[in-house]
Amino acid sequence: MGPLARFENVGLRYGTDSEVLRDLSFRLDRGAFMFLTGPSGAGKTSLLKLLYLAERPTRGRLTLFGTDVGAAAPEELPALRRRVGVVFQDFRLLDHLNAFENVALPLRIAGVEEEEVAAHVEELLDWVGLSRKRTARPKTLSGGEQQRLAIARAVINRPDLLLCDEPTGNVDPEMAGRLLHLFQELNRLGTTVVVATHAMQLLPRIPAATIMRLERGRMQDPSAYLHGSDDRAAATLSAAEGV
Amino acid sequence: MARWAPRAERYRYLPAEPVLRTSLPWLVALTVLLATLGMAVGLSLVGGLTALGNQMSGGFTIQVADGNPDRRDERSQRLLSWLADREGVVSAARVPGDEMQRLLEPWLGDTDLAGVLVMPAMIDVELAPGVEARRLAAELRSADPDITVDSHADWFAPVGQLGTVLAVLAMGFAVLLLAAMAAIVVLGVRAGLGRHREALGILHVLGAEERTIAGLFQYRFALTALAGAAGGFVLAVLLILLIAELVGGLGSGLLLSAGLSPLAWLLLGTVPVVAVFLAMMTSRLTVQRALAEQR
Repeated sequence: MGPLARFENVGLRYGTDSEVLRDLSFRLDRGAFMFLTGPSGAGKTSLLKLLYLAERPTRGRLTLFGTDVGAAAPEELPALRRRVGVVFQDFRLLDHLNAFENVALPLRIAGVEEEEVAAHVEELLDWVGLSRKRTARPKTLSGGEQQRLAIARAVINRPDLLLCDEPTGNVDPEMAGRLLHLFQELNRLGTTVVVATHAMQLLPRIPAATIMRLERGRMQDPSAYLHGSDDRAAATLSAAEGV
Repeated sequence: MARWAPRAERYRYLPAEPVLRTSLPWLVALTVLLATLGMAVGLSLVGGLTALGNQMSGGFTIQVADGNPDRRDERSQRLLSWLADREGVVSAARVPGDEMQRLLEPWLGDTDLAGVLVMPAMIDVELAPGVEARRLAAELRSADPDITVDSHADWFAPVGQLGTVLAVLAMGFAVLLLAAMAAIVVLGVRAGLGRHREALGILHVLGAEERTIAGLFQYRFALTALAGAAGGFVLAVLLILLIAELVGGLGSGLLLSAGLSPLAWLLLGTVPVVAVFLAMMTSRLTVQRALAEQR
């Protein structure tokens, strides 16, 4: 089984602007936990956009779930997107839907039967501690509750890949720890997790994680940020040197 | 939400929008009202002129001008006898003198014309449907070269042509109105896409198919157009019935013959259906095109 994602000299530009991502070459293994770090404007969000297929590479080759994203037909993309869960920094919950409906959204889009939807959503709302708020609108929830709701929506259909953009940016340290624990649990269940953050203090809390640092759209030497097993370190180093 | 609504609508993927609070149903109602009236004018012109044309083209008038009254009567009688033996002639009769007197009265007053003017003998000929008036007229002229034959179809032809042009213009007007409505739908859909950009972006990331989004807009615009088209059509029908009532009061044969046939009513009924279908398809194609541009 090949890697979950493979980047080969990938570049990305918006319109006629200069490239926001340049010459990215690495692989993301199935079951990996990766921190994506770097200063604001380094290209972390753009890299996530490539992974959740909001953008396609303007240069190079990105293979996701074995599919060449650049060459894929537009009709193939929704099915690939349904294998990715995303937690946005600003949550992006739908205000006209209640908590239950927001979490149910990915399952309903995927055409899952309503009985199954109800069972899964109830279970997940309970898991993130929001079962009592099932009928609440997102605007009436606290920041932490919205965060957990966004995570529940991202993982409800058991995605192969979970992407989190600055998930701890709006929460206190205790909540940040709990969120990381949550991601770790999902990772243990087999989900590949990529967390974009510039909160460096979080990195040691997941010793097994690989770390990628971006700066001005380029991947920097990851060895300075590595933790965890030698295998992962070797994998990441080899990725940095080219696939 | 009805079970037959698309999945996307049942699950309220996009915020609900009260249909009648937007301008679109009112614009559709106005479009359908005007298009239906335009079609009604066109169809009644076509119907009326066809009926009149059929009535007119099946006949002609023979004038026998002769200063000698006896010879005039004799020639007329000979022509009537000749016509009586012809197949396809429904009736042939000389116009009575008092009838001619009545026809000329507006110009010449109630003077007894028989003593003042030498009047030609007039013979009205009515033919069975399908009989060629021109051929029969030519045969008559060869039988009596001094007669004048006025084919009704000849003087009716320009009127018929004008009527056809007006009918085509009226129906073209209806088609243009429907095209304008489609353009309004395009603008409405684009505004809707802009208004729901954020929600659409989320649905996109969550893996919603483009056809799901397009179906959602199609359903919404179909409902909106249905509300507007129904209202506009009902109003148009009421106006047509009112005009028909007024025309009936005038007692004009020409206007009465321009009434709408059952087939014409059936065709009018297609206007709101076409409007709704047009709104549905336009909205679907607009969304698909917009989403394709964003790929």
